[in-house]
Amino acid sequence: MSPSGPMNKFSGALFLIFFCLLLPDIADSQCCSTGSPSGASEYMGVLGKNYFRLATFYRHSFSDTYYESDSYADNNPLKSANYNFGGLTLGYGITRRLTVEIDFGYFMNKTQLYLNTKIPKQTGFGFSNSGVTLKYGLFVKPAKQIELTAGAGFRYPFTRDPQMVDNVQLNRDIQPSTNAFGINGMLFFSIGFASVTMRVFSINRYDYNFFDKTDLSYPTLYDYKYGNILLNSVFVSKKIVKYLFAIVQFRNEYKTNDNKRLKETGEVSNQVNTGYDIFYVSPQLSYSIVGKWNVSVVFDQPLYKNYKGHQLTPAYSYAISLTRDFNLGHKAPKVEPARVDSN
Amino acid sequence: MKQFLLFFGVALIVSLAACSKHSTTPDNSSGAFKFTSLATKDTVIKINDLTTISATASGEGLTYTWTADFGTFIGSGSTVQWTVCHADKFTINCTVKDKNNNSDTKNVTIRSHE
Repeated sequence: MSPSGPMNKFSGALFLIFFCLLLPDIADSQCCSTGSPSGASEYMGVLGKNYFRLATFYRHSFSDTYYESDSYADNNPLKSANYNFGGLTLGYGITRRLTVEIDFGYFMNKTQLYLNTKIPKQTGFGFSNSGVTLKYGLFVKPAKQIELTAGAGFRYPFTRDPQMVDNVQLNRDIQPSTNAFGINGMLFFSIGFASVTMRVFSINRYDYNFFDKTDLSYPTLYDYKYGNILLNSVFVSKKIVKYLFAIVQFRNEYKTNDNKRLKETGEVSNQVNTGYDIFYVSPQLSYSIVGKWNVSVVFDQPLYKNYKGHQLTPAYSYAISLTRDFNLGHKAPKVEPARVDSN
Repeated sequence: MKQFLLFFGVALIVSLAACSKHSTTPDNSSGAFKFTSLATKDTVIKINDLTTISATASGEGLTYTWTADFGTFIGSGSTVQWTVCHADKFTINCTVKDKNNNSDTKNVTIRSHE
């Protein structure tokens, strides 16, 4: 990897932004919901030793269209749905190859407007699940701008009870949390091409969700499990001018059906209108402010959508992120955070 | 480095501690409490239609808590309306609790169709 310096610091943070902003809408896309953004920590390589990384992002998503299989669908309950979400990721390089991250997220709102005017607007808000991830650099060759990193972690809810308003449970689609634990594994690969100031990344990630235990406070007959998600994505970044980078991501998300489990017998059944296969293209611009703070904007555009059953599908989603890396060590780390610029 | 490891440790403990479990201990000494019935106006509905579900109970300081494996409630208290956006069989639960923490839960099943 390139020598250390101010440029390296912000470019490392830019690298992070790719993944903060281009995160998939993971979790609970269902018949009336458009899903929940995951935290902002999954899609980075390892940090250098003693590097501390702060990343925040805001995302807005809007939906007003239903799909059944890969086509538009009629007979829809919702006029529209939207959410506003804020995320925070803290990362720290424990050693030159080992990085730990914690991420948090908060739904400012998760709202549904029904076509039936007798049904009032439904809104949930609150903390989403948080996550802890450990990443290990399996193959890190800074001079060649190549990195292969594996990661594993778990996600946990802040509460295992569903959100209630006036002692009435909100619809599962607008719950801010899955109220259940999960585990995940990821593989990250990055290679740079200095001569053309380009970099290519790939991410493969699998999220497994466990059943919730929603009868901790209120007796219920069923446990619920959100579907598992397989994500594969490729990023291409290109330096446009000094401090400004253009990135495009090609991403596929595959989610299995949600499941419901009858507590009494343990019988598990698939939930209809859950599960999907979506292909996104996400263009992004990233800019470094005085070489320290990095701001980035991204727009998610679904190109291909195939839903199991009848489901609300995202019309568009955009996000803005602010990120900074801090070198807390007394000397520059031997392994710098990965760079987006290849100069 | 130690400070930041400490910081991460504290952040993790605090966030995990927030994952709390609630429990209630009923006071069964009171005999006045009784959850008599839970009834739905319709056991079969068309998707996106509304149906009314009513709980009948006696006692002092009653609170009604409604949960479902899926669907949307409208209203609160002893009578609510409920709708769902896809076809399936659903269970609606109502827990009634009095001021002495006596509680009982009943459920009804509603099937929705296209």
